[in-house]
Amino acid sequence: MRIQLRQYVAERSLLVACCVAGLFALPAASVARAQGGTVTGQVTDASTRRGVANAVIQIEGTRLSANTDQEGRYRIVNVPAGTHAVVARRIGYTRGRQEVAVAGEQSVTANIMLLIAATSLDAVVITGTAGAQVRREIGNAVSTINVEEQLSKSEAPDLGSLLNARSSGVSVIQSTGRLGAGPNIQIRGVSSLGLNNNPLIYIDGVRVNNTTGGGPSGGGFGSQNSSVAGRLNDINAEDIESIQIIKGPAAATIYGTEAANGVIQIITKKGSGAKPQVSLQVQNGAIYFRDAAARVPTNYLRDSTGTIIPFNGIAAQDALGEPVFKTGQTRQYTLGLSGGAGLARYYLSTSYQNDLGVEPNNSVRQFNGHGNLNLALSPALDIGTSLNFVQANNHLGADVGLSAMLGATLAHPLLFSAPGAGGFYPNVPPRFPQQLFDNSEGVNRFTGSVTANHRPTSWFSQRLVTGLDYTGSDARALEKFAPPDLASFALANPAGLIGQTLTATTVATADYAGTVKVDLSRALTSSSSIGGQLYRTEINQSFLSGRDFPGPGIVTVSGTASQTAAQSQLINTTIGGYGQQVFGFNDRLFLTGALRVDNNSSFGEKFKLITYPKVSLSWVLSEEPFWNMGFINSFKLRAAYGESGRAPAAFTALRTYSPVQGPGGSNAFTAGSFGNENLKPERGKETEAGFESELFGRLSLDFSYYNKRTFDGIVAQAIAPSSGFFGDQFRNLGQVNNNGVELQATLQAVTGQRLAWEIAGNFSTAKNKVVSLGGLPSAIPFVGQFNVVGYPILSYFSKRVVSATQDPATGAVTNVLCDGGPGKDPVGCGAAPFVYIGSPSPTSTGAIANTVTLFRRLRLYALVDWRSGHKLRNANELVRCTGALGAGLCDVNYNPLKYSPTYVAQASPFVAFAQNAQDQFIQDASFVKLREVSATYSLPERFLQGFQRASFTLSARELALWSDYRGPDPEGRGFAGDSPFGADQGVIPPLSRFTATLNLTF
Amino acid sequence: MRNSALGSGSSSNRAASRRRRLALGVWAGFSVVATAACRDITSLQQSNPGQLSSATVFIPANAQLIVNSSQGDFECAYNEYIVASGLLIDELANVISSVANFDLDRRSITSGHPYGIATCEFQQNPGSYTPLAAARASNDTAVAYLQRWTDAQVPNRAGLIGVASAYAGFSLILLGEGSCTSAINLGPEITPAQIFAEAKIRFDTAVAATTRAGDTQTLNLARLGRARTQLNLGNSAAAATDAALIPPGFVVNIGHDATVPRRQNLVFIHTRQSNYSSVDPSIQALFAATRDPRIASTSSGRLGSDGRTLIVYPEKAATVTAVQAVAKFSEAQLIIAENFANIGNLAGAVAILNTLAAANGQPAFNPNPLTRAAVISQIIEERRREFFLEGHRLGDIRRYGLPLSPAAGTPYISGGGVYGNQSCFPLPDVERINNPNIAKP
Repeated sequence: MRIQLRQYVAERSLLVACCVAGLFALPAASVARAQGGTVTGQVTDASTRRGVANAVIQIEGTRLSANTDQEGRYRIVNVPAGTHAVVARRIGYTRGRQEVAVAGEQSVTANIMLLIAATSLDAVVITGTAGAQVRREIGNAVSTINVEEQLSKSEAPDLGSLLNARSSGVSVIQSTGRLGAGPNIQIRGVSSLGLNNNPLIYIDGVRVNNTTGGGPSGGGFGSQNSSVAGRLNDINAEDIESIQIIKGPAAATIYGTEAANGVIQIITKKGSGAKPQVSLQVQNGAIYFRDAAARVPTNYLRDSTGTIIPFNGIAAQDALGEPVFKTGQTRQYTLGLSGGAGLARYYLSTSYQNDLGVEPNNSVRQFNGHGNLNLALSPALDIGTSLNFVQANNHLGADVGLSAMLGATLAHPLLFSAPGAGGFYPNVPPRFPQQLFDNSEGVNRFTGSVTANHRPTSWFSQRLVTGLDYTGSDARALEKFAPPDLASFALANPAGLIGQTLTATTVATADYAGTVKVDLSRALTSSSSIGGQLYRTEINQSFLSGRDFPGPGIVTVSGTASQTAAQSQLINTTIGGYGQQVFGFNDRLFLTGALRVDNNSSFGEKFKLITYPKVSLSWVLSEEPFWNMGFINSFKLRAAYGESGRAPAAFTALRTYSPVQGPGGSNAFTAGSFGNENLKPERGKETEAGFESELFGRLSLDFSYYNKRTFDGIVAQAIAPSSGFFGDQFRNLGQVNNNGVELQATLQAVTGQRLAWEIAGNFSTAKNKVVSLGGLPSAIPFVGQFNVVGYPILSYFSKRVVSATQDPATGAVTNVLCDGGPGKDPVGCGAAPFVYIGSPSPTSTGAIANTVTLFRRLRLYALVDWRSGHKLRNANELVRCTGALGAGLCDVNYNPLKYSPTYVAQASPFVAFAQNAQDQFIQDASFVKLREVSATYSLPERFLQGFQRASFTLSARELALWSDYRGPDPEGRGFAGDSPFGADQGVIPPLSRFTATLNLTF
Repeated sequence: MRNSALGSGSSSNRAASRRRRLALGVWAGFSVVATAACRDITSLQQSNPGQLSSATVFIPANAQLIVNSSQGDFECAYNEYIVASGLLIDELANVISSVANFDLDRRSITSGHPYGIATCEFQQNPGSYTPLAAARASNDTAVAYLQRWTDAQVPNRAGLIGVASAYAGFSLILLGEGSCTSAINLGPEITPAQIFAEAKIRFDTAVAATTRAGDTQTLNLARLGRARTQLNLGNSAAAATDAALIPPGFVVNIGHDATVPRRQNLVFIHTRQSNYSSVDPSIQALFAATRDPRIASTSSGRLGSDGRTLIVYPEKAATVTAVQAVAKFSEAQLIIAENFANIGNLAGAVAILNTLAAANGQPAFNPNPLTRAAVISQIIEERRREFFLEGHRLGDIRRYGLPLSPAAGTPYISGGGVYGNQSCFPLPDVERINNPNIAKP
């Protein structure tokens, strides 16, 4: 039956494919070949006079177009006789335009110079739009990152690092600094109480797997915080041309359910020109834990003579010549080939990355292959393919749990005195986890897409994108068999264990959009679009585990004495369509209305279609006749309102029972999911307004204000166990409000030939507040993070010590009182209420990048970024100072007079744990970082000797941190997942890097 | 500046019109065909291949499967309860650096502690309330379906009703003995006495059904369960009546599996495999003094991850598949002994106690003077050893009003602070907050 169904589906799919092929082929065949002139030329950067590669050249009013090669040259044939406007567009530049007169079959030249601009009103946007639209038509904010430029400056080691601090409102959240860990991305903060807050990610129009918090699981102590793998960094940043980001429901409406967190569209590089060009990049460098001995705390303990003995685990191991953290290395090689031949343009690249972390069990080895082929089958039809393959073998290391980092954080030989343990917590030397714990992930990933753009007439165009993203991963949480010299340090099970998770994830996309554009009058234009999308995600997962290896060297599940297995399958389908109407007036004022209708399989059979409306307005004021402010070169006002949704995991609606082993090994089941067949998607409703402008020909400003309300917030409400079920039931109960402002600016401060100075910056605020939990009480039973009406999502709550009486002689405190609640007097901490301590989500973020170019050859670059307004639970300090390990390890425990009475009061297990007063350990995590620094020297042409370009870059990352946070790094947030949950307990901070990079093009 | 489709010559107009009609026709056709063809691959109908649907599982043909499942729920709940209650009182001691485990061991749990939400798959933080509540519910559900069906539909229907009713009763016994208050079927908050009354109803049903089915083993399980219930209700005479029917050698164990976490012996996991817990120092001392094999313990020679507490293994859980007794002949005998003490037959009680002592190489109990208090005290001690890590001790502490050990206020070495005075699991937040019939805080 299953086979028959597959055959049936295959047949129907074939039928669809045939229909699609026919649709695109028929009108194309009807287009007659024409004779005409040729337009050639070169597009150059106005400041550097260098050719601009990959610029799109169009003969305005026709379907004729071309792309520039690496030297900025282009050629367009069959141009009809007459006067034409040649328009050049390239991300990062303003539009260039030049008129040419073509006569007969002559060749004419049109050289165009482009000015650098952070935002160009004529840049093409394909994200959140029905087909390609120019920026001037769009009423919502769209951030565009010119990856080639940003990457050459930052030498970001991965896509996550590249995205960080480039776009206002986009935050990249690390869960650990270990190599191979994938970050979470938050756009405009968090807005969901119970669902994923990550945006959708597309590569060349195809939705891709953006899982975070995956990877190894099911091990023992060594696998704590090991589920940090994320799929974002599978994508090789070197293969990306640009990234477009739309930030919320106002822009993402046509993506429907699942798009409320925003959308990131990754556009990969395409070939250009006719001559093959080879590019080679070689990068080598060092990775290190900056200032480890100072950032990992020094502990104190009184010995038998009463002397207070300081101990720093990192320094102690350094002194022994056995450093805990060694200097790792990074090596990356990229080879690219691009060009064109006849109707085809191609881009091929391959890269190999081999990074070794600061611990022997942490490394990244990744191979990427990428190929793009674009065929201009006719002036009416072009087809592009994008193929990407990744093979990775990452060893993710260990922190948080029984790791060298936590061992050093809590170390003191008077407390952990086992011979050979070096005083490390908990009598386990650092080499134990580093040699025995191996959390690894092997990945094979293929992403492929075919995009057909068809323009059968001058007024009708259509686009079809189909593609597939397949990820096969083998994640292993391995604790190896302990050899004799380490077995005595094993806390449990020296024979080792393994948890292996095999995951196959397939995301299929089919996306069609058709647009009819007509001029209703000389001033009024109309663009009508309809489209439909299908997304199908299938995740097949097998979990295998085993315990007790018979001896060293055996590391497979089958080699263990006892084994378990589990399997799951998850399928989620979204299908929907939309209609969009854009009216344009004088190419300056654009009104857009859209309606999206879709459904998602997570909602069960009772749920029917849901609709999401959108309306936006864009007005290019600076092109109005009345505009007389000459210093403002361009100014666009925009406003948008839109809705989109967010769906829960598959099968959420179903009431199910889980198969388990019963008495005597019999078949049995137990209560599984309670289900909720009435579940609806979360609905985000967002209003956004702002402007995009360019002033004095050198300052671009992009400002937005947004106000988002998330209704029907899906809350995982616990089920009362007396019902016979347990766990959570997803219900539409909550409401969350978000608002903030975003500013993106680029200033060409100096644009001379000898000195050019660019200052780019962004700033954003993001506030969220839980408005409703559907009447559910917000019980706070202990110190932690909870959703409470009136406060940000997952805020920290604790009892707060407000006063204590300190003995001036001994420093001991008595009469400890806690905040009694709003408007109430302080009370004893045992009877005190839990009060709000802070939000885990930053309320403001920003970055400033300076780029100075000297003599067009030497470019100096530095990026500083910051986040503020949020807190982080410093579990390192909590455990050290409260005597949770049996003795206080902090200075406050021995010199209390140096500290405030309220802090001294909490440096005790009674107040901190028994009375739940820990506000001193939930600390301000605001920070400023010197994130990126680089110097690039481009060799003069006379030295190139056959090369077109050659440059050499020295770069560094994570060089300095300024923060009041008292842990190693305020970005160290373990157990984070994709919510703002987490704490810093032995988390490896983001590692620093020094790299040298050689780029050659020939 | 776009090219207009209007305003050209008449032939180009006609051509444009033809192209427009063609494109629109193809476009419309495509939409219709694609929509129809894609129906299969775009299906939004859900079925989880890894789960059973509620619509198909509760049918008469699955009667045995349903009862196996509900019995399995009890077995895992019992397994969890033994460790959770053992840590709360003086059978097990925590050895790891975990606040939740500290809180349980030092009797300072809040109603949000994991004991309330942890399910059968939890190992480090064992559950009490949720597994027992789920076991009660699944056994009651099984009985409800079986009573709805007919003998013609379900072979051995009475026997299955007996089994499920008995395990529903035992689930309620443990809820009553361990929880300060509880709830059933989203009902109001009820006291242990009310819970025990509910348990008795289940055992009455079980006794009747197993008698009808001729299932002697389950009948004796139900009788001994009812006896334990009666003891909790203060009716020792009625308890002794049921207990007297239990034959020598009677025992019902729960079995375990070496690899399935839900069915692994959790005492073994906690003490030997994962080193979360140790035998409580009071038991270690008692074993050192008496060498009573029922509480035999072996030092591992290593400290737990708290860096302070020695890990000591209970020999009772020497393997991951070591069985655990739910009910056994000695329990019946001690119930009878307790009733003897209550009705003044002290010699009868002593005889039972000495039989057990002799069987375990312990000196005879020969108090002077022979008083009821001395006998009851010895029964309590005998129960402490006989039922070590079998889920009786917490109920005994509450029923007999025994002092907590260590006493409240004693410094807690493992994780700091002091021992609290809790002797039962509070109604957890997960029940209080989400049960519409219970008052909210």
